[in-house]
Amino acid sequence: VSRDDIERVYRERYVGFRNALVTVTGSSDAARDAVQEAFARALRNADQFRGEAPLEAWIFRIALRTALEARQANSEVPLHDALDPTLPEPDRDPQLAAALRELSPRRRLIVFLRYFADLSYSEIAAACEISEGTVAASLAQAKSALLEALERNEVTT
Amino acid sequence: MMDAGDRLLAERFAALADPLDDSDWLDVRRRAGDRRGRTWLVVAIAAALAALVVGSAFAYYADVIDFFGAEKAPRETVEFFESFATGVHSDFDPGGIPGETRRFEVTGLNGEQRTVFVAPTKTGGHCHFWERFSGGCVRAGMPLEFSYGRGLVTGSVNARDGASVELRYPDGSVVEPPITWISPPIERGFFFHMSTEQQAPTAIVVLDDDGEVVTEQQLAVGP
Repeated sequence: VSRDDIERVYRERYVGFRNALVTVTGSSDAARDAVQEAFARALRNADQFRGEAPLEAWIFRIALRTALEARQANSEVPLHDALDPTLPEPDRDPQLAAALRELSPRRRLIVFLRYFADLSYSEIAAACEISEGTVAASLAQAKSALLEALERNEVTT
Repeated sequence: MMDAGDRLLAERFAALADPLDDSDWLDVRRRAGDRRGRTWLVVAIAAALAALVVGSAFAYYADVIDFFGAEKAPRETVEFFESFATGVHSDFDPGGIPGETRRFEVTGLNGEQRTVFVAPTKTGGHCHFWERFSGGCVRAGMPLEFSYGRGLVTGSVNARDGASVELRYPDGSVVEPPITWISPPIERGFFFHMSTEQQAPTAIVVLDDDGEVVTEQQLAVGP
């Protein structure tokens, strides 16, 4: 993969990656730093990209690991076990924040990757190391659960 | 196909997403430790030496300078930039935005500094004026532009292509002047170097991250 390819992904995906990572880091500055560092690592290790997954997903995985390293100072923790992504600034939409809390951490991550990072199903699958079918099923169930929770909360408030 | 539920969720998440684009590709490249990273070290050392001499702090040169955060140019400089478009056919108007002219201090190899005023153009290029020397406008993406006179070379390189600059001399010696990088919308690095009158450089070479030649310009300097 060339430096131009990585730069293209950076210019197209920077904002989405940062917004998705805020859910992991809890801070916009930390998320920005993780994205910057991840793309720098991608540049340094471009020869390790095998093309088995979309480049966007490969870089996002680096970004996720970078964010977790910064948060936990432990790169050996399996990604899914270490993740507990949450909506930044939950007060801005408390009902959505509450609905998201009812989802498992992995489903929350998939939702954030879809809606904040704007990743496709195949990119999410590669980023989370799961099948595309699992992404589709997880998103369908997550959306259904979110809409149900939002409706429930809006009825009770 | 997006259904009503999808749309509702997409709208709620979009309302929470931070639209600010604070991306900085130059910072990524610097973190990646490319040749520019080593340039920062050279600049830092030069700045440290200069600080010992004049007691000033040059540490900020270790970073890309934010264009819009830089000091605005004085009125007379803005008017000078405005004159670039005065009386010229629209085809030759460089499209500069004089009201956005900023002032930058560029550090040389020995810690000396020169002032360059820089303004973006409407088409992604820039106009510049090196104080008490020369000026002009450059289209977007031009790998190298430079001026030479009385032993002084001033110039700039496109940050997307170049990582360092070499001045090559007839005796085989090479000088790598420090580069002061300026953020978008300029996205270029500015440099200068004063040679002795006895020995002028014969070529200016721009190198990329891997040390490969991006472009090489010969200087037609008389004896």
